[in-house]
Amino acid sequence: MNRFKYWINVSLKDLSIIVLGSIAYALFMSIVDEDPMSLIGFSKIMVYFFSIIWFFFSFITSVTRFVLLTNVAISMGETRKNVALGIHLYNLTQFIFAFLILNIVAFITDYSAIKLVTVLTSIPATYLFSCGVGLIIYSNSKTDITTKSVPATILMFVAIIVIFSSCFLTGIANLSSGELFPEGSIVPTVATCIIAALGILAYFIGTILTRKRLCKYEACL
Amino acid sequence: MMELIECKNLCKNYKDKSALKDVNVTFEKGKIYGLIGRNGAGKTTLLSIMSAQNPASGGSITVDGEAVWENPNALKKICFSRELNVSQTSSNGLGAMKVKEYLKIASIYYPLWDKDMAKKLVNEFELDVNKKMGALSKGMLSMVTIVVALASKAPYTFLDEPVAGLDVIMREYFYKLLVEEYSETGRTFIISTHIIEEASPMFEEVVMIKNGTLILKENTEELIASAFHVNGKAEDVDAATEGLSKYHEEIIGRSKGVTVFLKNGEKIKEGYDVTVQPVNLQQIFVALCGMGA
Repeated sequence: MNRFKYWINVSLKDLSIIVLGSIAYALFMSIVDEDPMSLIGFSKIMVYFFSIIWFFFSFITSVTRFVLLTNVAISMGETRKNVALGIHLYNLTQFIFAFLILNIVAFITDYSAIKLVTVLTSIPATYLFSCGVGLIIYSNSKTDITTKSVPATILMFVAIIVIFSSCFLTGIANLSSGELFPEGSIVPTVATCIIAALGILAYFIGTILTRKRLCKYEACL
Repeated sequence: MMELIECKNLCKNYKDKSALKDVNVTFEKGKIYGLIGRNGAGKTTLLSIMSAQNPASGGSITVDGEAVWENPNALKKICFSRELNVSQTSSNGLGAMKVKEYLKIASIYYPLWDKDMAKKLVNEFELDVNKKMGALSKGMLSMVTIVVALASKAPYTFLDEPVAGLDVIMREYFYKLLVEEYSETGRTFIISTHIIEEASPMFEEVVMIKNGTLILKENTEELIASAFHVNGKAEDVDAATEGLSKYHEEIIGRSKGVTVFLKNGEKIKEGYDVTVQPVNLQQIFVALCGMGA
């Protein structure tokens, strides 16, 4: 096994996290029309609630594990540039799979315009969140890893453009139905905005923290 | 071109603390070096900078003429098998990794990895590869670092406290393995250890660090041959060692003991009532780095 295959392996290993996150998300999408006071509605809310908490804990564990692997790799002679590429490969793999899975879920359940834009918004937001949390952890890890790179910057801008255009499209779609937040759309829209905001915030905090360490170590991509 | 590791004006600062101060040292190919110093002297910092795991604050490191930092060509020649301890393994998550996973990563990263040797050593050390690193004792973690260091076959191999936690039988076995490997391959080993006397017969050269400063780099045999402990009445000792470099003076009542290093034909003056005894590497270390030295 060569190093490239190793990083692919590592990236694929933690995909279960994103799959479970997507299931939680799909559940969330399916409860918006349920009466929370009914037995089914309440059960769905509880399942969703625990799934999402579990998803976030697992996600942090997954990133921590990845940081550990990158530290082990550096301790065995990997260059920081390759590690940075590995990190982006990791994030990108999660991103692509999240995109596929969420789309399939959205298609199977109810491929409505509102749900589609919500899904579209949440994917880059999740990616940003993943990068942001990753960067925050990397910037505090003992081994100095630089993750700033041109591909990351491009992806970040693409993600932000997708988020804002999705929000814009949500507004258009909602307005076309006669009101800004038609029945059933307020919860997913607000939740998506929160995820997007957290994602952007996490990414910027992570970038700022990491930037401090960048060229100091002469390892910028 | 000479095959060696060269450190020039190496500095490392941690906020207000200076861990390495202007270190200039070369490690030639095909030797076993002993890197010794007290706790916190800068040994691990030096090894981690030489293997590009830690950036230097100043100075340069080259391996066979190539800069080490972010250079895969240079890095593939180096293996730094760092001391693993239980508190580290549990705090950074390494504890959750199985021994076989750790060895698998090593096999990917070291281009000359000797799979058969790793397997043989794992069997001889009776290591359970399915165990998690966090479940291993201090001695077993040392065995893992030894397996990685030897099986890596890296031309320049650094071992940081390789025998920590090992019983005397395993330590003897490690020294035997190391000497065998050295005889067969001529690899360069730099070994940082606190068990100086036991390991000293292996060291062709000894490098001593004190408070981040390199204080000595000498051929071990020549160093031991030049050092003596002079003991007797204080006035006799002073007279016999007049003009010589004296270290680690000990005064008990009217008696005095002092360690001297003889250079360029220097001699301890005869005709005084003093006892002159050879010293071992550990005593030299105490003389140069001990309390009050």
